[in-house]
Amino acid sequence: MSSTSIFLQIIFNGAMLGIQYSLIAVGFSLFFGVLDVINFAHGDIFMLGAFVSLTLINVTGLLNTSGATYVFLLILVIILSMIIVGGLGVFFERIVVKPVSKGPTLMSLVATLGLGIAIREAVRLFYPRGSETKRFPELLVKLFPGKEAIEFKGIILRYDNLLILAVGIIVVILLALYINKTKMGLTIRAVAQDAEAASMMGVNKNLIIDVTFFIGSALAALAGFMNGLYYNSIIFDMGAMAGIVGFSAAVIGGLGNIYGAIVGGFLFAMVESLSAALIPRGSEFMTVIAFAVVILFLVFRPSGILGERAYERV
Amino acid sequence: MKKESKFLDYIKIILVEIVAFFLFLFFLKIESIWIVIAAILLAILIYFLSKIYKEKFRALIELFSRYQNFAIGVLFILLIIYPFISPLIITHSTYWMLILIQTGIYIMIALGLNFQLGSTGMMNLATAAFYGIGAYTAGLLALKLGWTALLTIPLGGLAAAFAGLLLVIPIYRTKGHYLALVTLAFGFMLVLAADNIEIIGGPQGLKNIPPVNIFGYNFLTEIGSLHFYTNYYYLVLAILGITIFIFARLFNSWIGLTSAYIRDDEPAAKGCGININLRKLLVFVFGNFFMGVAGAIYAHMIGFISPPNFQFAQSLLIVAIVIIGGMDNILGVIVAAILLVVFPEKLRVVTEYRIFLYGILLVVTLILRPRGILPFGPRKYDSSILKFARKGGS
Repeated sequence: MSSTSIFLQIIFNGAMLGIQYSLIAVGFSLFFGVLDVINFAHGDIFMLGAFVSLTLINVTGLLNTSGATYVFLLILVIILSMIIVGGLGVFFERIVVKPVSKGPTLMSLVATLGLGIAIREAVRLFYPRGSETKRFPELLVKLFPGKEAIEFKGIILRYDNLLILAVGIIVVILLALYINKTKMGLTIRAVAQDAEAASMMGVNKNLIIDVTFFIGSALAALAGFMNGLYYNSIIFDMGAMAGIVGFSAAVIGGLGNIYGAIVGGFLFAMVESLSAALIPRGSEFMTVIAFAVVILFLVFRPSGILGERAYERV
Repeated sequence: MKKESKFLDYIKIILVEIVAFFLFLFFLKIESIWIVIAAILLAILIYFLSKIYKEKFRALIELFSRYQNFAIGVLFILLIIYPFISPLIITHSTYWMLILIQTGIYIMIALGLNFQLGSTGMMNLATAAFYGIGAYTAGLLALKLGWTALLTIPLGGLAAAFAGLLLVIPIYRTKGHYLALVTLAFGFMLVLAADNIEIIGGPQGLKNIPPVNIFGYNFLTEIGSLHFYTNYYYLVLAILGITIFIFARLFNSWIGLTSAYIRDDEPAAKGCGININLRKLLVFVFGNFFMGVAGAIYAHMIGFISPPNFQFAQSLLIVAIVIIGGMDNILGVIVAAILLVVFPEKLRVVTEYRIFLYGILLVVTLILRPRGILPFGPRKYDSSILKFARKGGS
């Protein structure tokens, strides 16, 4: 392999992780926008996404079908898992996140961390053999019979990975359009900017918060599904690290800014995959290096890449 | 007449403390999950009683705050005789002694964090990492160089304090959620690094760290029929006493006051000529020192440390202690530490569900009492200071 093709392969691997991180980070940014809260349970919502979709795969008997039914059921599973997890996200928001968000910021931080622990443990305890690593079926391979990958400029691109990446990018674009072009998106932005003023203009603030949590949680569920497809295994505590990485990505990009979250997610993933490839013993230290980059970022760009410069009102 | 009432007050304080002490002992003794639930119900009952008999309850609190030093003295004596009484009542007294020592260590770390987070408003999510730095420093010095604990414990603290200096620029430039992320990332980096550096044991950690040995007295010696943990119990009790004394003095000093100013309104504090950066750095380094000391004691006591001991989950527990304790409230931190460290051990009866219940308890507590169990209101200064101020003004 030439050095360019190695480089391209690193970029591709980074992009695969990056799209997942971005989808999680977007949730952090959205929630911070409308409720001024860091929802540390979001990583566990991501994990729930993976587990709910695995359950749905088993319930629908997806693996035994083929042809058009297979494609239809696959799409149904994805959409259903997003709806279920989105609903769960709204449920947790109603009973925990919104009540505590009125208190001091740090209280909400701890309460959502507690919620995350409860969700994680609930899966471990109540999911059948929940404490074991679960195999996640390679669903997408079946869509491309005969062929597995194409070669492009000397790098190997698996079809299923390409599909994951494409779906992720389409979802991100749809989200951006939704936030920027629709009326609902406008009201979300209005609540994010000034919740009080928005409710004076007749915006139903509580509904907007529900919608935001639904969207954010559904995107995390999609990320969880992708993660299952990418690694072919899921485990109950996969959300802990994912949540922290997602939060880091949202902060690098600038909390409250969706584009920032996406850029941050890709940046974090690129740093990880570059350091895994280029530095000796890099795969052991890649997260260390990524976090070091996060710290450097915060020092030199304290409000993130795309974040607004914070001025304090005195 | 007056003298007699003072005497009565003393008796009241002693009685209340002894009753609380024995209730606590019996709480440690019980093993059936149903009695644990009954104890929880009793605690809730006491809470509601305190609401109904507000006046009497307030009078009691008044009493304790008036004779604060006496109350602390009595408590201290009770804690000193605890190792001798506990084997008579509790079945697994050695185990509970270990838990109490651990609680003491956690209180020490939480007080360090309380100074940073509660008093000055600086989030630190790397407490477990600084605790780990103390433990590893003490462990390495004792193992490789054979130094005595008299040196390794303070040096563990100093190492943690100086590690905090690595974050000097982020502390100057970030705050709030961003500072939280910097410390969180720092904690993760240290644990991952410890996991991958072979000189300090890698994932196996450090084994066979020698016990504390002060002036020839080995802490593995048993005191009569008491387990050798008793030695560490007294060591932790003594160091914890000093720590609480220092932090209480700091709270009441101008350092505590200006810290609260920085926490409540940074620009205004800056306007008043407080050197915010320097102050934040001092607070950060000073708080970390106590975490390091706690880690060093832990390393010597357990004799084995490895990276999983110092993970993010530990930091979380300590943050939860400070926040549930009510921020900037030393008594609250102590109560919360007992609740969050001792109480889950009781839930061990339902081993499987322990962490699950712990998460739910955390959430429910914060929903019911969003400002923590013992929130600390505005500072109250007694009349002597006001009088002084009036004199100065006239």
